[in-house]
Amino acid sequence: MKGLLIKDTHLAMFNKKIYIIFAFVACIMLVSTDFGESTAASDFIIGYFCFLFGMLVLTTITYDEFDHSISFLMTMPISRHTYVLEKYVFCFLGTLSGWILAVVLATGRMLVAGLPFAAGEWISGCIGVLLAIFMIMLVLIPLQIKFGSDNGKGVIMGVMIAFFVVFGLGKKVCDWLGIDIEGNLQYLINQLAIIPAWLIVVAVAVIYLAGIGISAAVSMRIVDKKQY
Amino acid sequence: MLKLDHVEKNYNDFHLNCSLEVHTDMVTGLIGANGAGKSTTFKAILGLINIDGGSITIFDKDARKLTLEDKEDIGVVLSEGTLSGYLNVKQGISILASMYRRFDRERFTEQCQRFQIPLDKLIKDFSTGMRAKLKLLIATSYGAKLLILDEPTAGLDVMAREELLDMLRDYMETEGRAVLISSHISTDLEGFCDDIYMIHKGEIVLHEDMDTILDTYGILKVSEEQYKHLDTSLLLYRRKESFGYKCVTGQKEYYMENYPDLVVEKGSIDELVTIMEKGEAL
Repeated sequence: MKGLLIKDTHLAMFNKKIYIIFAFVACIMLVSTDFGESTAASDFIIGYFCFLFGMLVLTTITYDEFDHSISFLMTMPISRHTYVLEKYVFCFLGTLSGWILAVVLATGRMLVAGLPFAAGEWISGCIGVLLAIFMIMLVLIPLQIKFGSDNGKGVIMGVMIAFFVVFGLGKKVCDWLGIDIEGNLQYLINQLAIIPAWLIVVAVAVIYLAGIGISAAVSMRIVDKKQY
Repeated sequence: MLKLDHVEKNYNDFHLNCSLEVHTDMVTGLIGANGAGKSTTFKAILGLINIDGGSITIFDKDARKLTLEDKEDIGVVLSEGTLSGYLNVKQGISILASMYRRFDRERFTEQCQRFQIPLDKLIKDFSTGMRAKLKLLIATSYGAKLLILDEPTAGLDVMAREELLDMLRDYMETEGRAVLISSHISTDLEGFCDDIYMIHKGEIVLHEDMDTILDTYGILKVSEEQYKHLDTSLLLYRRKESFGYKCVTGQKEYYMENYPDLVVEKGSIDELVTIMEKGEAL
């Protein structure tokens, strides 16, 4: 797996100029945004960074397929399952790197702006963003492996659009039915507050382990069936 | 070292049924026209495609059960595909060094310099020749026992082909190694292979050692009238020509002795492939 991680790091670095530009844009957003009394702008920037770095893994899958280099890769001393697992490890490391960078920058910006914020709440919000982005990646990785560079982008775009359509329609339906989503969510969050923290951590860990297991199993099945 | 026993692969309009063996200290060539099944055979050996029947044994093991250590003993050149085009050779070296325990970084770098392969240029920007040389250098860089080479000399000029074949000859100087090679350039194989398999429409139609092909195989050029009076029992293939027929025999001496008026030419792989492809089996 070490060789694959080195390969993907090199491949990710191929786009370093684009990523520097994106990071620069994020920094400008960070500096120019009026934070007011809310951490919402910081949450967005953290999500933006995490997603950007997480997307690196999808780019490496595309590069692997370019000019049949995946066929050669599969003749090297790695198994198809190791190839898949490495994508998850690389994705986790990429997303985490983006998250750490963004949290440091956003926290620094808020400290400079003198915005009052509770450290515990802030960091748990940041972790929430990381987990949300990571969950999206668990869906996107098998899709990219399955549909490849040609169709992958279209499928991923379709999934994203479907997600927003379902989300938007759901909200409209709830509004029409007179269901107060925000109120209910707030109620749910309040209920969560009375659950011991360790139980929430365990529940989240179990959900994510199951998510990783299912996503990786699907990806492995796809790769097992692939003809190179 | 490598054995294919009735390996089958079915595509819509193509059926592969291939049996062949590659022995230690021997160079085995696989020849055939485009679409005959050479690359499918190579991909099956390397586990890149799932086979529909038969068995593949490498190093006396089922190919599907090869360990990662076993895979380090196989050097590969694919007709399509090498390290990602978005890497340069320097980056490739760090990857190969992490993948193969016996990768000889110094020797590889020296060889790159010798063959004028740039270390800092992206592989996707390489010329066909540079790419072919790089593929072969990678395959021979970690002391593999078995080389599987699919069209390693494709797109190269005569000088570059000779250089690569010399590299392979050097490689075979070490005992206990073997090569399976395909090429559409027959002279490459004639001067390099010990053993030849000919594949046609997915089937192995000929297996001989190279010396036999060169010594005993011949091409008869006969008019229709001559053909009528010819003993055809020792003919393998024939192809209709404007003057009559071109026929392949594995017993050219017989025809030279018994039909002194016939034109009998030395067997060449190019002629064999052409007559097999365009003609008919007898």
